[in-house]
Amino acid sequence: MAKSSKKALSVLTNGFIKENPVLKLVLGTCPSLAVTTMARNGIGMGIATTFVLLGSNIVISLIRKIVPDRVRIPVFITVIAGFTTIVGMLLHAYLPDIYKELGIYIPLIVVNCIIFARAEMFACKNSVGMSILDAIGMGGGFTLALLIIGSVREILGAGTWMGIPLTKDLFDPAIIMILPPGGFLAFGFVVAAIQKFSVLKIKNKEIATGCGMNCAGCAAGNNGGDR
Amino acid sequence: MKEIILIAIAAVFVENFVLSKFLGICPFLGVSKKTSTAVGMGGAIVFVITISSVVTWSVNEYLLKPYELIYLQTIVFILVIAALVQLVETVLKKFMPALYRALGIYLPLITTNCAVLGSALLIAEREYTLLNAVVFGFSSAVGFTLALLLFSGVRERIETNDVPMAFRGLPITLIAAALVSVAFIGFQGLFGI
Amino acid sequence: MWDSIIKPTLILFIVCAVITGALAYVNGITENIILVRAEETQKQYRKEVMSEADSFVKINPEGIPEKIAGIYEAYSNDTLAGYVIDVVTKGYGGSMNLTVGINTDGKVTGVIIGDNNETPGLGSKAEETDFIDQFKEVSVNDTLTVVKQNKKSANEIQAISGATITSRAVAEGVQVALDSVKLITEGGN
Repeated sequence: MAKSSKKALSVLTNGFIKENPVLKLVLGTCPSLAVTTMARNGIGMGIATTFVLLGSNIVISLIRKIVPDRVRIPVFITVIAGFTTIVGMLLHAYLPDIYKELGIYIPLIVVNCIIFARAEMFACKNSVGMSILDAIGMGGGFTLALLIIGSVREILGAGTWMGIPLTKDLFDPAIIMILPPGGFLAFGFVVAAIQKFSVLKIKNKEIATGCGMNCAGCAAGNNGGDR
Repeated sequence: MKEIILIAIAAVFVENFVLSKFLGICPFLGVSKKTSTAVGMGGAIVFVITISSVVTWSVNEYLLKPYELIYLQTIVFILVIAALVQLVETVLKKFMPALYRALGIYLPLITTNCAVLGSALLIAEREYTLLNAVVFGFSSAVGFTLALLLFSGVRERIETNDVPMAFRGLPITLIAAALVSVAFIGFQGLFGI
Repeated sequence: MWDSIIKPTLILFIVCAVITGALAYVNGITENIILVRAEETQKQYRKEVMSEADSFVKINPEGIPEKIAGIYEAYSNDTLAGYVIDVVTKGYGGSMNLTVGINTDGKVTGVIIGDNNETPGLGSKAEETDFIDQFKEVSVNDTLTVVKQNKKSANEIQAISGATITSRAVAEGVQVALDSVKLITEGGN
């Protein structure tokens, strides 16, 4: 009992720091850069993604034993796309402001590597309960990362945080931080800060391959199994 | 004609997929280490996005719109793209083995590439005509390749530099990307787009 | 045969059918909410750009440019107070909806930026009052130009720094609205 609850706790907390999907595993970089012009948008995207991840993890974990290997990938894609669309429709109906701000990046949750990676690496091998914890942990970690990057960009680039003016008399905001280059800059510096303070330094090699190879690796492996 | 040229130039430079829209960042960071792999990935992307622009445009125009199924757009597009990538792979393998050898290993990576779905969604959102859609898709992919190529050049030089410990790996790559991105902001005023 | 072809196909089919069903169901619930909300927002926008008016009547005059999505006559106590024009203009990230109020003196009473795909946090800055208030000083006979700095007269609109394209799009949209009101009022006389 003690052992299993310990495992559950580690599954839940893993995603926040140790295996933070954005800052450590370098997954889901597109939305991390695109919607983090404001802290609020970062949170919105983080929560939307968490919902999709939660839904897809639950469903995939539930059907993991009846889905044949041959159609695993199309089934996963369909499930993930389904939840993405549902989240998109709900946002459109109930939170139109966030929907407007996130725009095209809502349907693009579908191709967020984090969700696919968790389906492949966790949900299709673990129980529903564990998959829920994993989704909350990973989604939370993703939201946290987006909040950090979004805050850095909003404070430096617009002089506000969550829309509250902060730096009015201190300095003129550097607009570059909310322009595209600011996304790369903020992301780079946040990761550098983490590497600086982190005990578990990621080795050079691992970082350089990052998501490209990670997603790539799983997609390639999958397609191999498909044929 | 003027409109087509404007769409093409805007797609390559002004709203560059990687550097201003943040689509396809994963391969951008993943395969831009060497110029040769950047060319391979770029070629595969140009090929797939151009074809997918035609296919998703037709599906959207003749299937989703008439039957009021727009809400199925995301799911249909991603499945169409996944099937298309498989199809392209099979056809290339059979009929153009040389091209397959060059692009083959990059093709499976494309299904999960947000640039492909992103371009399909942008085309639908902006209600382009078929011709404009193809031009937009092709030019966007060319812009993607351009960014990848430019950046692989930058990265090959970073490799030999002495970077502070904390910035090694991903951070310095991102900061270099920021600088390339700054250069592309210069295109924003171009042609009053 | 069963294991290699039929079963996988069947399962894939079932998953697709279930997901599509779920989507259709959620769509059925949200579709109306979205429509109603959009209509309400439009109504509210009309009210905001022309605060003295209490009722709006949609009109369809001839010869208006295609950028105009709708023109409303605004009435206050049954007397014509002005016009509210919905304009679709082209911004940095695609189309951009504007609602412009112009009173019977030809003065702009308000501009609201509705649906748009401008860069979040930057292009969307156009929605802030500093920029928008500039339009309250222009009227139907003005020709608007967008300047990056050193605004000298009312018909020069100071662009938001870093978002010149968005600023220009808004100015163009307001110009279209001004021109069509001019067309309507002069045609009427």
